[in-house]
Amino acid sequence: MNQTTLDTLDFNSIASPGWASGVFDETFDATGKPRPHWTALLAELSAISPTELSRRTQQAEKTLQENGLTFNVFGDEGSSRPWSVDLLPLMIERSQWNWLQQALNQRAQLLQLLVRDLYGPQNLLRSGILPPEVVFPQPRFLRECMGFHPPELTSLTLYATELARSPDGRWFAMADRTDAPVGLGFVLENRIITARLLPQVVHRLEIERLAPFFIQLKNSLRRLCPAQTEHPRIVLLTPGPRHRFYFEDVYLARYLGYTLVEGGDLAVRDDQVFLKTLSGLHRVDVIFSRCMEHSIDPLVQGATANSGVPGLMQAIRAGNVRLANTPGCGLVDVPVFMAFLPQLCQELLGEPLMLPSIPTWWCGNPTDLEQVWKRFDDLVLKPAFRSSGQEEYIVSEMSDEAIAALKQNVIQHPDHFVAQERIERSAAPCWRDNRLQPGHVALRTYCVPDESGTFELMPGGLVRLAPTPEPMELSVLAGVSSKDLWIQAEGTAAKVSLLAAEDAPVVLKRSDALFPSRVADNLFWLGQSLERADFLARLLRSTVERMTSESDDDLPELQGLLRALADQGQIEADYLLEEFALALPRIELILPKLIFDPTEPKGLGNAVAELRRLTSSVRDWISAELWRTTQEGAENFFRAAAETDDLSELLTAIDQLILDVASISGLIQDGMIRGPSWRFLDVGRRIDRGRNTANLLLSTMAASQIAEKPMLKVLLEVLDCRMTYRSRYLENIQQNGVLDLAITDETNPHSVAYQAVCLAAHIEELPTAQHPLRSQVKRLIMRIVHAVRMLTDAQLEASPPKELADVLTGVEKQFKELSDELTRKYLVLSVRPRQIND
Amino acid sequence: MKYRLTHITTYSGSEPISVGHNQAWLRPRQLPYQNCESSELKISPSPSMLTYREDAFGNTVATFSFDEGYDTLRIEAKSVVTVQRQRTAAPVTKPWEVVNKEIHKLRTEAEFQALHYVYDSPLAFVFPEAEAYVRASFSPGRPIAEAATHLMQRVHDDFKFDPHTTTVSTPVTLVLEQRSGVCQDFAHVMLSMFRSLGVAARYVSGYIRTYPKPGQPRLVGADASHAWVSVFCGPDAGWVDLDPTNNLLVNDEHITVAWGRDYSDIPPLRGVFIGGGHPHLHVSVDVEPLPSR
Repeated sequence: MNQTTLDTLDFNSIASPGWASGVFDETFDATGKPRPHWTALLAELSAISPTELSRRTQQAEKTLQENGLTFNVFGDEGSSRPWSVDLLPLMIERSQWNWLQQALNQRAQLLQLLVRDLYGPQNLLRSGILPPEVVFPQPRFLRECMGFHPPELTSLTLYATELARSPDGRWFAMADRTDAPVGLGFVLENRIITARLLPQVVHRLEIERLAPFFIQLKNSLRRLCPAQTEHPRIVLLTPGPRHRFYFEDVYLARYLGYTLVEGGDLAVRDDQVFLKTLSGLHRVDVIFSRCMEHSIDPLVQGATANSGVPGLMQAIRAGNVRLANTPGCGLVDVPVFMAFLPQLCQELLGEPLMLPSIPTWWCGNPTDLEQVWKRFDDLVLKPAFRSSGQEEYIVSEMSDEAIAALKQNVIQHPDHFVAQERIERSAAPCWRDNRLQPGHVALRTYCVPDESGTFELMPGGLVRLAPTPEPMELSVLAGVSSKDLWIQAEGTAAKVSLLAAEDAPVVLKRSDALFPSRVADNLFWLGQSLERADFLARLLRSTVERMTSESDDDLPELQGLLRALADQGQIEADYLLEEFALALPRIELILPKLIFDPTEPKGLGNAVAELRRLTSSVRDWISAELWRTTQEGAENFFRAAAETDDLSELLTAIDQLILDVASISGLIQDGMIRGPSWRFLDVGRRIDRGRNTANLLLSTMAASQIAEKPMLKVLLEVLDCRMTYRSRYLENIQQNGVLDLAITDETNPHSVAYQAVCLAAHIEELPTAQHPLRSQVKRLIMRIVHAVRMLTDAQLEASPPKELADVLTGVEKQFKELSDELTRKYLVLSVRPRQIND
Repeated sequence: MKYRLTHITTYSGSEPISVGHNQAWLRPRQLPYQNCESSELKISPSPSMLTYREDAFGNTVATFSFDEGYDTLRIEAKSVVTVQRQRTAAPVTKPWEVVNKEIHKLRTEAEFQALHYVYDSPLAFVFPEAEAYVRASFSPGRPIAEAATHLMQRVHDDFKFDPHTTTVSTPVTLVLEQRSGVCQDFAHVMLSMFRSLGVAARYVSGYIRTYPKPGQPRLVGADASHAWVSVFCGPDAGWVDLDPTNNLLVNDEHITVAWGRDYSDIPPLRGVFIGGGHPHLHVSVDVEPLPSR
């Protein structure tokens, strides 16, 4: 073997007939020659050495991880799985693609007509073409949607299809997706990564761009707008951060330029939909919904739809808002209709169905059932009335008992099942484990209607990859990896980007009117968590440092620190009393758990977990770097927790956390626009810091140690102002100097006064109702500023500083009241709606 | 018979309720044997929005919402209705198997509409015990109305009326097992039984005239919502209403408000709200017979 073959990708090694035996080979023909539409790509790829391809693959994985491209495996936090991309794209021949464009347009038209009939005149049922058993008993037949689908309206805006190719090269539709189809974000990300790592290839081969499709999607959504508005307000409705595809919702909202909203952000008034923002209610015209249609309105659909918008169905019925897809479309998502499509196509379009579905038999039809029994062992059974992919039985892979149970079930409820043929999926080369291997592909395509109502097929799609040709779960998440899909342009590929679509002069503005109240709420708590994490970390660091110090000196300040920890709810108050402390486990032993346990409600671990959760839920409103730094900081912290319970090693973890919090603060201070997002985050932070400083001082006063020098040193340490103090007074540590810095010095970012002054400025900027007198919020903050500014030298010097303690107690309480008042006035209570019969 | 119906629902929270959206099925249907002369809804506080529409089953549903919040919600539905329906014996009908089969031939609109009520619904679904129970009444070839009336009689005899044994969320399977419940439960049980045979049957909500004890005055507001079932007996005989709670063929002492596949399609009041603390729901119903001219 000579050097050159080692340095290039040797596609001949997989061209031999045999590796793809029994399935359709996307790349090579029966003689082992590359198919014509692959030759150019293979030639380009052959110029890349395997080492280089492996390097780029690693780079791709790194990028994906950094972009946070994951999906929640169980819909819970913490259990997410990274997305994975194979850099070798799948090529599909232009002529095949043109045929698919026609065939999928036909299929989309057919499904839309089916929806219109079933939610309208129901002629198909009256004439007996469709048996009522496939519609009326279905939970997915939403009777509230009757009349939602008149022929003049577009019902279907986004239609996805699962495709597979049989061994003879014919295409089959494995499933239709009409109920909030997912995957577009992954398609985009796959394209961006593949194009970035194979940049020249994309250009030289004139691969069709994806942007025109997304422009069409935006246009289609704009056309849905019920009123003649020049700039209809379109929002993207997500089921929320706990949902599997939340990442994609955030990604798409950003890419398409829509406000990302959750059900709680929208309100229905007078049968119109509004977005709740800081500056009031703003009318919404079109909702690009990523929620399943059975869970969009708790009024109609009950408690299972509690994340939806009460009254939404009535607003749709009144014609004041449009949803994409229009509720009701999801009915035809279920496999039972596949058994009827050829007939329905003749009936509704007067032509034969171009793209066949995977052969499907509905067991509720006696003649179909007879067929099913004859070849039961070769088939795949599925619930007839649920979307494909959630539950399926591959009979040949089941145990005898399981088969017997399934047969019994089919006998009892034949109409609840469909049976489908198995398909051996086609194969294409992929790069896995640093070598070329065959991979079996499943394809998901997307269509949107153009102005004339013709459905346009996206020139690309989501390719999922499995190592074997066995049936693959019909889900975006199935398979071991994914690929980009390339279609060569006829001529040169149109160079458009999504930005060019809106190439009009902008009217300058400095604010974002559409700032949802929920986001303000989350940012407010994010600011508080950030401050809490910082403060607790500093307090714990000072404590742990002293507990682990080698010196035999008496450490009088430890008592004050423990008092502060107890007052913060970190340790039991009994540790402060020697006679009780003996009965408790040694504090060194309990501290690690207290520090790291995210379920300890007041603990540091909880603050960090909250930080991570809240940055995820406002991901659309903060920079990618800020999000990443927070996620990584939290991960490092919990990893350290898992690895040690040794006190001195804890110090390292706490130190690192303090550094991470500092970089997060830096990103916020340096990068965030001084708009409402930043303002609410900072308000949360300032209130918490004001309270923390006040509480720390009160704790040390209670331990009657405030006047002692070691304690004063600790205060400077925890409040991060040792440097400043030294530069002012050298080593002469005195109570009034320290307390001035901690309370009254308006230039010290950790002082109580500084927080108060900042808050006063923030509150001036918040939207308020016009009223001649000052609002309660303003009065509260003015009272705090006033109280701190009125402090005298004598009060700072007094020993014990009794009057000062009273002032601080009052200020702390007012900070809390301010927090409550702001929450009540500006922030939504993130409570779920309740049902009257609950 | 002519009646004045008053149905008052009050809903109050221990804390104020902010924004709320509601739907109410409280307006009696207009029917060949029932004339709803007037029907009005008085809501306090005054809702921001109130509209009426027809639902998928032909009932009138009121939708109303509150943008401002409230402490107590009071909904008073007042209607005047005349009912003329005399039925003392089951009509003569075809055998139940024949009626079942003919529904699917879809020769009439009535049969097509009946199809909505043949299949499982959220609260009234087929289960083996229901089918086992119904067979004793639906012997082969038995006329459908006769079989259904026989079934009603059995349910009335076998089941104990006891409001303490069920709640709105007690499943129909448990009702059959424990053989007790209230009118709503008996209706659901019978629907499960009918549907296990493929018989089209629907849930009817409404009111029934009550009589005071001899020598005592009629108590105002002491009545209640009532529920029964209606069975499709073929396009000629139509729907026959049966009240298993009272073992009655429904006549002019029953007032029909709405019908659906089961209770969940047509609750008197459905709503979503925010806040409220520990809310309390109180319902008072009055069925007052009026002198007919």
